[in-house]
Amino acid sequence: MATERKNTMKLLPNLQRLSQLVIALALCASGSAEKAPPAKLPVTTSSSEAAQYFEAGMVNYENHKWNLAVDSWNRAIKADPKFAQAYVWICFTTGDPAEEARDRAKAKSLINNVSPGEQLLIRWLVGVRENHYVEGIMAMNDMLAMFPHDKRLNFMAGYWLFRWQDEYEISKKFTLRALAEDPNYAPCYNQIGYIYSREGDIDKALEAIAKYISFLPNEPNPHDSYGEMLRFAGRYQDALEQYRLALKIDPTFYISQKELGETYSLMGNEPQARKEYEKAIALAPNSSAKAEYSQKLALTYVREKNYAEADIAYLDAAAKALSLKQWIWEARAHRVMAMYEPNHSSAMRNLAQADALLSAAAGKVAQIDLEEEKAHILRVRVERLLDAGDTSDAESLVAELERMASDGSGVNTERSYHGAAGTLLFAQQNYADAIPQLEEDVANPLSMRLLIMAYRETGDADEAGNLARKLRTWKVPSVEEALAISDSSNSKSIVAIK
Amino acid sequence: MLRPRTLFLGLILCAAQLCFARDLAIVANKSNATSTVTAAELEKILKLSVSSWPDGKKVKIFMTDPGSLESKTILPRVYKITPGEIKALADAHKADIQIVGSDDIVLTMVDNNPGAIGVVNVYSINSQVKVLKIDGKLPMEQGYLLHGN
Repeated sequence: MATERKNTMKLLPNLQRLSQLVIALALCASGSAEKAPPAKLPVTTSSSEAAQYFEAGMVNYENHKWNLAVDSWNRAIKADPKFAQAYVWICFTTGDPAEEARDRAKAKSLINNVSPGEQLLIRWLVGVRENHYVEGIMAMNDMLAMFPHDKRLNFMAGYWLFRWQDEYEISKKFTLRALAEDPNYAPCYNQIGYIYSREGDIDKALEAIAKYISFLPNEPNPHDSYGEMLRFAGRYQDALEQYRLALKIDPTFYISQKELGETYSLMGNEPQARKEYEKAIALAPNSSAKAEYSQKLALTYVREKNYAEADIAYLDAAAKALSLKQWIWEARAHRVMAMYEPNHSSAMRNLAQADALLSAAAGKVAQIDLEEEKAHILRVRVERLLDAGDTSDAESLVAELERMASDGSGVNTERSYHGAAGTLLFAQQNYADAIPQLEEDVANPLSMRLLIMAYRETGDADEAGNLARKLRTWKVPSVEEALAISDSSNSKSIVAIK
Repeated sequence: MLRPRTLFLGLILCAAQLCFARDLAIVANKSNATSTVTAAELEKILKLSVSSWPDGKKVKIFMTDPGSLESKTILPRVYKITPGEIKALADAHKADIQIVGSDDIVLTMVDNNPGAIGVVNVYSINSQVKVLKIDGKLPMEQGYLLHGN
């Protein structure tokens, strides 16, 4: 890959000329006459050093070393501050909202300096991030039509569809297309394994990931992925072994360290989970991961229903987030505290604090991230108000959420709205109308739990049974999962069944 | 490991074994002057109650199996009939409503026929075609008629 991409790199002072040359070289690289599609998306840069860093970043990305990928792309930008493609991949990858917003703006400002294919790449990744989905998806498909044999582009599009859009069918098509180009393209076996797992075929998933390991036995990520599949299958001990193996291969592979914590937490061994999370926090290479893992650690106390310790841990996590300039994580800590807090007034105080922190973060992070957290806060407010019997205020907040969702918000804001609306309707015993709303809030165990009860209330025992089975075997740790699954009699954070 | 975007957390994380219906996009030939339709107008067009566009081009409809997992819960919102009845309608008007094997074929047929209109998964759209607004909304926007989940 590296060699093929480097063929398109030349040092030229004039970027416009460079773009033309890059395109011409890409056409030549396809090895045939004018009409043959170019083999690969060109990479426009004025610096050969930047090009090398860029390629290193892409390879790191394929191997799921995202922090290293972002580091490499940042080095590329240092060598060539007008490197549009490096900016847009950082925007796609970074967990830092401020970096994301800054680099997205930069990529947009440089769009006219790059080749037509790269322009489509930017329109895709920026478009979907800014909720211009139709424009973004069109650009993605146009780009893939322009470079049908670019295995990396097919893989990346498949990744986006799978990970961010839950669109498995088309993701599978692109991933298989990449494999048809190169049957030894290891990252695709990982991706296809995850797609099988989402389709419910764990045996095929394990088989695909085993193949991924066979291609890259000395890389940590294949073992990490295998561990996750084993965890989905409920084989916790085997999963732990794979994570340890990944860490043995690469002791800095912080993701596997975090997964050890996740697995112990799902096993109910919270003290051990905390030890593992502590190590993961220390290992994490960036601020957002440190902030995230600190809250995972705090969540272990919620699972134990030790709310006093949970408060201490969440306040500590909030302070850490502030020191790391992770303002949304800081607000989130207070929002989560309000989710498990038994006392209504304390919960409302925490929500007010979360709101205030979020307001203070305005202008420092991407608006979409602010809005999503605001939507989460509003949803918790709705739940708490309903818990306290205040239907009228809850209705006003659901209306506010609906307005937010209607204003071209992100998918998560929409889901928060539907979840809140469904929760309100459920509390009003309007089960038939609650069902379609809760169904829109997919993958949220709190909504799933209400949905099971709504199905039962409307006599749909089959749907209730199917969803109850899914919820019982849910292997994705989150605060919603902890609250929904750990104690079905707990009515502190979800609406009591009237 | 396939990484989640950390801030989005549980809501889009690992929707294990869930099945999703997608937003369906209504696409038209790029030469079509119409950019937006109401749900009522679309129902008439798709049921062939209206046989031509304002510029006189004959309406031709292309779609994949209306009974497929992706379409069967969404398409009836505009047709106001069952997937089986949509199929029967297509069978009765084979020259004007064609059920084809894939979204790619729908897109190509719409591209090649000036009066054509098609129904595709939103993730299949490309610039060969024009995506129509329904009641002023594009796919993926809140309140869009053919919204999936």
